[in-house]
Amino acid sequence: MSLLDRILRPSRTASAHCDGPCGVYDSASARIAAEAVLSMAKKLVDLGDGNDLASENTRSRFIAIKEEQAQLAKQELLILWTDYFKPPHLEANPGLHDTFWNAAKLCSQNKVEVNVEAAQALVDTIGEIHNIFWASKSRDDVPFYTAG
Amino acid sequence: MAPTLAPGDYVVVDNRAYARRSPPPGDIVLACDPREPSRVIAKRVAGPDGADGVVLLGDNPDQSTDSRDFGTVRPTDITGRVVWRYWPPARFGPVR
Repeated sequence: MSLLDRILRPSRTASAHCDGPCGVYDSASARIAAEAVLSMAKKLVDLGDGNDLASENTRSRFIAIKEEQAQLAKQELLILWTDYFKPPHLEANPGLHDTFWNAAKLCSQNKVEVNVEAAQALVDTIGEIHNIFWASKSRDDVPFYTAG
Repeated sequence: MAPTLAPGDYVVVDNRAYARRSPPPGDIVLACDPREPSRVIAKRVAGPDGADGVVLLGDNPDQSTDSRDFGTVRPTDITGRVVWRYWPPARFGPVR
């Protein structure tokens, strides 16, 4: 620390921004995780019921990834829900809490089950959140797309 | 508090500003975060809320954590008024 800085530096520090000061939010993080869940559900169904060692190994890996990505999707949704969205957003979107609750429940359902419909419903619900999110930033130039 | 305050700004705070009056809307103040009193926050007074609380909002509403999250702040938790920025030199002057 330079002498000048030591002289000038205030005795106290105040915080003036949000809890996570980066301010970078994007519903895409949740969408990518949800797409991985959908992909794993489809692959598990396609894998069938084989009990040989290779099938068991592959099935275990698919299940582990499905579990992990469903948890990641839930975490990404919670960040948007609890950190990004504020009461004024709720006024503009009265269904906001229901949509997030539904999405979080779908994350759980996709852990419990191997259910392609539930996985697709999760991706679709995140599509709704995508629309609310970008509308809240007055952006109409961000299309919802899927990688899969 | 962008664009009014930037990370690393050095400011002078009047600790006696509200000894005889309550903080008027528009003032930038230091306050104890109601969720974590040891944390000092800088926010703008948006208005009184009844007799007991003051509404504090950030100037960058999309990204601010403020009274919309932690509710109103007790007047006794508002510790001073941010009056002057003395560093960096390019932004030297009153804080409004």
